[in-house]
Amino acid sequence: MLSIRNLHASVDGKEILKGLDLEVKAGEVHAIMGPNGAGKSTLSNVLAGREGYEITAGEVIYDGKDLLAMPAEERAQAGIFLAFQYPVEIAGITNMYFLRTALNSIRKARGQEEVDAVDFLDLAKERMQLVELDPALANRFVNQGFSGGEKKRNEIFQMAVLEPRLAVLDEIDSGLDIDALKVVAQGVNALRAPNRAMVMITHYQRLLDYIQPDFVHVLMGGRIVESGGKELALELEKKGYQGIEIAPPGETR
Amino acid sequence: MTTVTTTNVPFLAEAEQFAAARPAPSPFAAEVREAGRRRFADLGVPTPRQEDWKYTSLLPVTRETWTLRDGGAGLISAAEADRLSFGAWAKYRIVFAGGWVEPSLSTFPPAGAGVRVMPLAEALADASGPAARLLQEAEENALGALNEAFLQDGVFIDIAADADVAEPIVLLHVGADRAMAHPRILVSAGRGSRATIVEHFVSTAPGAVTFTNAVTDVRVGENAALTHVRIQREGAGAHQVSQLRVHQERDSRFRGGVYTLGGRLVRNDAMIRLAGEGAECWLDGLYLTAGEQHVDNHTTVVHAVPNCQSHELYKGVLAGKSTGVFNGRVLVPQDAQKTNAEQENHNLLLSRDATINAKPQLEIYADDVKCSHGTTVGQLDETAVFYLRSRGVSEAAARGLLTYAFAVDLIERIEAEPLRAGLEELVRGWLPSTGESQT
Repeated sequence: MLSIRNLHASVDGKEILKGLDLEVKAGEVHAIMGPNGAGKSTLSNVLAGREGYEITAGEVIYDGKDLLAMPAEERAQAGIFLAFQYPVEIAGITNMYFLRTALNSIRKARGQEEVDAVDFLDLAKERMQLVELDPALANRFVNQGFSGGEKKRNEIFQMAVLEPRLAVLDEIDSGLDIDALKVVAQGVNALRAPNRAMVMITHYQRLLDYIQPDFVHVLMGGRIVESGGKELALELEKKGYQGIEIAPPGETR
Repeated sequence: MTTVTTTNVPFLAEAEQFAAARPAPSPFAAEVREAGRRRFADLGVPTPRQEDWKYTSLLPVTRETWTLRDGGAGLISAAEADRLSFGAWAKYRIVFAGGWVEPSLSTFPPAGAGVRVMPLAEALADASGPAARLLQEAEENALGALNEAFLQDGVFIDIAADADVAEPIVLLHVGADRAMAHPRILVSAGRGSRATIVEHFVSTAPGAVTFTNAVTDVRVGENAALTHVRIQREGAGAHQVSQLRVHQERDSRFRGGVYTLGGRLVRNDAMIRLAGEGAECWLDGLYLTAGEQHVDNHTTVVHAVPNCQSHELYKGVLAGKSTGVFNGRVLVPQDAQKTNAEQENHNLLLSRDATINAKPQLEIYADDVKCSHGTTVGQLDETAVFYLRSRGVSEAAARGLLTYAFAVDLIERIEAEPLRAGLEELVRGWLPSTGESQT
C-alpha cells in the first residue's frame, strides 16, 4: 500500500530525513519510534502533504501513485489520514460542521453522494462512542476549549468517521494520562481492519502496550536504523535509544 | 430666497436649484433646508486634510454630476423589492426609491402596532413636534448639513412608550443610477419600548452609479431597547456616506450593527451619546471588501455620565486592492466614573494589496473606569488551512470556510432570522470570489 524509498527531506535547507525506507501493507500496524529530532514529525508531515518541506531525493508510492505529487487534500481524498500531534483549534466552525464538510469533500471527490445533516448526525453519534467523546463537544468549535485528551480523542473520532485506508498517527500518546491513553488506544484498536494500514509515530514504548504493532522501526538521524517485531520496542525500553547500534549506512551520514 | 454666490463648494448650486424647484413641505422644513445650506456653505465637503477624513476622499463623489429624482415611482417593481429584501418576510417595509418613499411598495404599521411611521413632510409640519426635536439645533457635521440642504423625504419612526414591537421595521433604500439621495430618518423610542429598525441599502443594477447621504437620528428613551441594523450591499458604482446619531437616556440599551458588503466608497459614522446613567450600547460592524472598494467606519461613543457601558466589535475581511479604515473614538469625561468601555477591531487581510488603517482612540479623563481596546490585523492561519486540507477539503474551500468562521459571530448577532439567513448566504457567496485573489 505504501512504499517509501530512500526519502530525503529538508526544512529551511536543513536535511531532516536522510534516506528513509519503509514498506507498509494493508492490514498492518507499524510503529515508528525515535528520540526527539529523529525526523518523526517530518515524516508524518511529508506523508500528509504539509507545505514547507523540500523533498531532495527518493519517492513515496501509495497505491501505485506518486504520493508526493499530490496536494494534501487529494491525499486525504485517496484515503490518507493524519492524526495531528497538536490538533488545531478553529474558532467559528463547529466540530460537526468541520467533519461533515471533510466527509463530503472526500465523498464528492470519489464521485459518491454527499451525506445530509441528519444521516451524518447518526453516523457521528455512533462513531463518537468509539472514543467515548462527550457529545457536547460535537457542537463546540473545533478543538476550542478541549482538554489535551479530548483533542486526541477528537482526532481518532475524525478518523473513525473518515475511514481512511492509511492512518498516520503522530504521537497520539503525547500529553495523555494513562486513562486517556487507554481510551484513545481502544478507539484505534477498534479501527484496525484488514484493508487499513496504520503508521504510529511515537517517542514512548508505553503506547505499544495498548496498541500492539505488527512491526517496530527505530528512526534515528533521519533513517530507519532498525526494524523488527514488537519485541524490539521492549529492547528499546531497556536499553534506550543510545543502546541501538546504528547500522552503517551505504553512503555518508 | 437667499442666494449664495461666488462659491466653489460642490452641491451648493444644486441645493439652491432644488430649493427653488421643490418647495419645502412646511415652513419649518424650509428653515431646516436653508440652515443646512448655509451651514454646508461654511463647512464644505470634508477632505483628507481633516484628521477625521485622513484616509477617505470624497473626490469620486464631488467630481460626478448627480441628478435628483422627482419621486420613487417606476424605479423598481414589487417583485424586485422582495428579491432585494431576501423575500417578502418583513411585515413593515418602507421602500425608498432614489431617496423617495414609494407608497405603492411600502407597508406601514397599522394603528395599534405600537409604532407609527410617518412621512417626514407630515412629521416636520410642526416646528416644535417630536420629530423636529430630533433634528440637531446646530448641525455640526458637513454631511448632516448637506442632508438638510436637500431635505425632502424620509420617515419619522415613533415607537410608543412601553410598546414591544416584535416585527422589525425595514427601510429598503434603492439607489437610482446617476442620482443622489439624502434620506433622513428620525427615530424616537419611547420609554420602556422595544423595537428593531433595519436600513437595507441596495442597487437596482450592479453597476448603478449612486450617491447616498443617509442620516439617521435616534433617541432611545428611558429603559427602552432599540436595535438598528444597517446592511450595505449596493453595487460597485455606489458611494455612500451614512451617519447614525444616537442619544441614549437612562437605563436604555442600544445595539447598532453595520454590515458592508457592497459599494465603491463607503463611509459610516456612528455617534453614540450615553446621556443617562445605566445606559448601555453595543456596536457591531462587519466589512467585507474586494477589488477597489474603500470602506471607512468611524465610531464615537461619548460616556457623558457615570455608570454606562459600551461594547464595540468591528471585523473586516479585505481582499484585492481594497482599503478599510476603522477609527473608534471613546470619550470618557472626568465625572463619568464607573464607565465600562470595550472596543475590539479585528482584520483579516486576504491579499498583499489590501490595506487597513485601524485606530482606537480612547480619551479617558475619569480615573475609576474600565476601558479596553484591541486591534489585530492578520492573515488566515496556515496551520488551520492545512488541517482542513488534510481532511480532504480543497484549499479554496478551506480558505473560504476559515474566512467565514472569522466573520460568523457578527452574522449570528442579527436576530431577524430571514435577514440573518440572507446575509449568511451573501457572505458565503462572497467568499469564493476572494479565493481567486489568493497567491
